[in-house]
Amino acid sequence: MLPEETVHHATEVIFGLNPMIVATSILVVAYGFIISEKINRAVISLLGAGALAFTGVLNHELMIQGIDFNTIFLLTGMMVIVAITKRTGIFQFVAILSAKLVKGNPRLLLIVLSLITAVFSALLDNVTTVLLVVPITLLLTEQLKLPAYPFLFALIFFSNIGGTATLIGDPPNILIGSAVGFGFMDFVYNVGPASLINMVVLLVIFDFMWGRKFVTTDKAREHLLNYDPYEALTDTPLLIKSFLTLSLVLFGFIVGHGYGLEPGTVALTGAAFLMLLDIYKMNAEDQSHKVQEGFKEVEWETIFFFMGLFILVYGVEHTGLLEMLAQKMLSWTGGDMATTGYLILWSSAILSAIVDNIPFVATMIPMIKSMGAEMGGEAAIEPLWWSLSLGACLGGNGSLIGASANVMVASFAERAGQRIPFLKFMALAFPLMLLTIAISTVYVWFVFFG
Amino acid sequence: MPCDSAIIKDVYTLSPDLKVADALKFIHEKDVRAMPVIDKDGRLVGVFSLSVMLKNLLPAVAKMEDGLQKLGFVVGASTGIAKRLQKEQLQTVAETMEKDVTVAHPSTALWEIIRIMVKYGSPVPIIEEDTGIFVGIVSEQSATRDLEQRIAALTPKDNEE
Repeated sequence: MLPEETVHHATEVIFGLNPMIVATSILVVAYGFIISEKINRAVISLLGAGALAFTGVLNHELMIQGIDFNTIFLLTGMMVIVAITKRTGIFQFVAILSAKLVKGNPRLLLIVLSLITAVFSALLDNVTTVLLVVPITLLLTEQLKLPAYPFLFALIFFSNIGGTATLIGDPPNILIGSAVGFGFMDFVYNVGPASLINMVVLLVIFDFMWGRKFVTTDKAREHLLNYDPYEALTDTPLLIKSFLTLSLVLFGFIVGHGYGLEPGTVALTGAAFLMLLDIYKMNAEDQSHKVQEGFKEVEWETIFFFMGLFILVYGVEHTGLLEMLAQKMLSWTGGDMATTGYLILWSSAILSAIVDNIPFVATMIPMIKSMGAEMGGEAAIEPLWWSLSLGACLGGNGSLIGASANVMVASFAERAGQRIPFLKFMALAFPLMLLTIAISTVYVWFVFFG
Repeated sequence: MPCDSAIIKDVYTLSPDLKVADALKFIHEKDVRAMPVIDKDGRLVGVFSLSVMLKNLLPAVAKMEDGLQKLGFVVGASTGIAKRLQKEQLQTVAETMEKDVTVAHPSTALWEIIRIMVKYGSPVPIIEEDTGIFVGIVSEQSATRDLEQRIAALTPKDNEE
């Protein structure tokens, strides 16, 4: 039987069509285009959202209701903060300093660059992190006459694994955290350890495969030791302001959760605070120029993609499709929590490796939510959210198109003359991704289901 | 107002097969910064300049728009850069020259030439529109000189306008 709301809306839908069928058709067509990558995903998601309105499935109020503004605010706020912070040269500074600390030892360099990427990805966003770490990595490998490929491979993996550990590290976590109301530390406690274990295992594998075989010359190392990391810093006062803001934002994420402060509010307020520090004492024209510069760096394509996507998913949620699919999934797993968790973990990992994990997670969220009633309430299904987070974030490592950060690294490397072949990457990345999911399966079994 | 009167037709040119080391020698000898590269049929195939050659010495990540914005932290790299130049000297002009050159034609308006120079730098190679045969160059100096000559030729009536 169709839910009550569906019956109510059936009279409003164009030509008296079944709203669930109309919403599902629009979603399938939109996802088809998104997966095929023939047309820009932001354009498709907005057209799909428009189609839901024009066919009468959703009215204006419902469309607004469908958009998760906490996610939108969090993404926009963090993008502005990162856009300003990256002007300081801090990423290059840390990378060069670390390379000097390990005295240009290539084996240790692979480890420190991987860890730096993981930490930055956990606290900022993966795409910006890799875009700032990859150029300096390529310069360092060129200086040490080392192959760049192992380093690029490791950066991709560690950006996604580092991002898995926190609320703000990876878009799937932002979506889950916002929809369910998880705080920053909830992610750190529940998926952080899995992320850490995977990092240790991968560092051992990468060292065995590549690190221990790296050879460089004493002269090349000597040149690298001459590098002056402080010269990489472009704006020290701005660095202090950025560091202060990021610390406050992080504090706000951790403490604010207990006081009902949403991460989106914290991030957007943090962005405004950093802009205030940046434009302080400037004249009106310069202030306007600086603020515009910060907003220009926001990836508006991603923001509008999310808005359209929220509406698309809300269309099928509102008409009852996702509840129906959730019931189907429960009937397959017999309502068993562990089986449902493993199914979510593995299916989200494999799908995220092949297609964009954001639409997948956005669709899964209302589905998992509707399972709550039958599985013992919201608190009882918490392990399912962690399974989704681990699957969707780590699954992104499975191919070069599995996550935005992978696409960015591949595109930059190609332009720098260091092409990463799609199949060569996948031949190693997919099995390694499966290994991280196997480790995560043991982890969720031990921590939640065992 | 076409640019034909500002064109310098008697210019030094390079062959694409010449080695960079020889091209550099020629450039130093003639005390210029750039030279058009012409094939055996007289067509323009590129421009060899000191700035393009220096750009080639930079690591790829420093040349990209979203790459490294600073290289000041690379201390004591002069020998390494000299070695890069040594390698480049063994290449041909065709391998190192700028191939994507903005050109103009003898009938192109002087306004447009000035706009090109302001945006892409001087000199602007001039080629025949239909054949691509190299005609000459318009440089900042030749354009300014041409305008100065026009000032000298101005009549009282022109000044009234």
